[in-house]
Amino acid sequence: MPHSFGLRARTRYLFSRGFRNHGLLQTTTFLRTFRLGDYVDIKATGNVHKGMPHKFYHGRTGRVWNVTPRAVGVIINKRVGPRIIAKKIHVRTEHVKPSNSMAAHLKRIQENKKAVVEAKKAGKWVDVRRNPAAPKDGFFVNPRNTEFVEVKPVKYELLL
Amino acid sequence: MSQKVATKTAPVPESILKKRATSQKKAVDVAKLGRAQQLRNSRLNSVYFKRAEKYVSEYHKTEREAIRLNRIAKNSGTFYVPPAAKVAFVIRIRGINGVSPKPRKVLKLLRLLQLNNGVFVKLNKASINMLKLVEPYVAYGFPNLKSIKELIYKRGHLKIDGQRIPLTSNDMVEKQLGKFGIICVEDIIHEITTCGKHFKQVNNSLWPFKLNCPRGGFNMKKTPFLQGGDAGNREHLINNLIHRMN
Repeated sequence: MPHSFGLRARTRYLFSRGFRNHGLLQTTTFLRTFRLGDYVDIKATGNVHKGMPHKFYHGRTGRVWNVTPRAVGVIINKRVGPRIIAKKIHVRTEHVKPSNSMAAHLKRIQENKKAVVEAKKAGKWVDVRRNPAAPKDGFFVNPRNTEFVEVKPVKYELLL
Repeated sequence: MSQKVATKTAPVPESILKKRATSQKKAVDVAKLGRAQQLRNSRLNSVYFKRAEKYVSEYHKTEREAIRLNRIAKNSGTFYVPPAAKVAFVIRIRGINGVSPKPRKVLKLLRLLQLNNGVFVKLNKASINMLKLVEPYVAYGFPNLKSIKELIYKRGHLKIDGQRIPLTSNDMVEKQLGKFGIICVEDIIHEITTCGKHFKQVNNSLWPFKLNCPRGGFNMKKTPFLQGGDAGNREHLINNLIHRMN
């Protein structure tokens, strides 16, 4: 086999567009606003050849450290042998989209803030820490109100 | 002229006088301290017995409550599902050779560093998942009050200044755990049995228990309990194993 270690080697499917997704990208892609510190997902799109990330970074999540007119600088942790290096790359905005990885955390921050405010108003202290699920308490089961589930091995059926 | 001979008493050195006074004062102090200590001990003794009595009645009430609920269920044609256990006792049954890194780490976190070491573990989703990771290396289950008492009274050791010190008096318990309101061995047992608010501190103060090989031997260490072996969860049957290893 001839030399096959190019920059975009083995990306036939990785960079390809989905079915019926060829053509121009939506305006949302170009009108998005990125700020320093945002978490972004890198997803290379084959439509736009300029400013593509290396195939390694496809699917990675990183943080914005630089904003330029047509691209953003992203820091991504990359494992090299036994080390983990913070790599800084510039990617065109077409290949980047905001990440949901912090969504649950931010939501919890809001809920905690609200809970603390309410508790302070009521003059109480509230524990907002997360706790792993505790063992269940005892309870009664009424067979008249409960649906029975019969558990038995499935009869073998010969399929010919 | 008549001569008058005066009798002269020998003078006492000042240092002896000082020493005499100091000894006297010290004796008084010691006596006072002794009386205070006796008073404190007698009061503490009454506190110990009051607490122990309270706990005994609590255990008895819990037992009666379980029976009562079962009767209610029986009389009303329902089933009562008892509450899940809150505390497990975990015994390491495999040696230290040939353990892969993740189970080894978990065993270290559980402080099961040697064969036949045992610890109490508070059960929740997180710790149950840890126990699942090390299931082939440990036997665990839900200890009852008798097992907990026997373990602590016979093999209990406290961690004092990082050292393993036999648990021989209530004074050392008070010194270590007095700030959590735990002043005697019965308090420790109560905290472990009911998985109380300070379970973590109490359990961490107890050094891992060093048990004997079980009387009568193991069945098959490498086989799960449900398949006739010894490894894994055996729920309340752990009490038999504890009895044989204690």
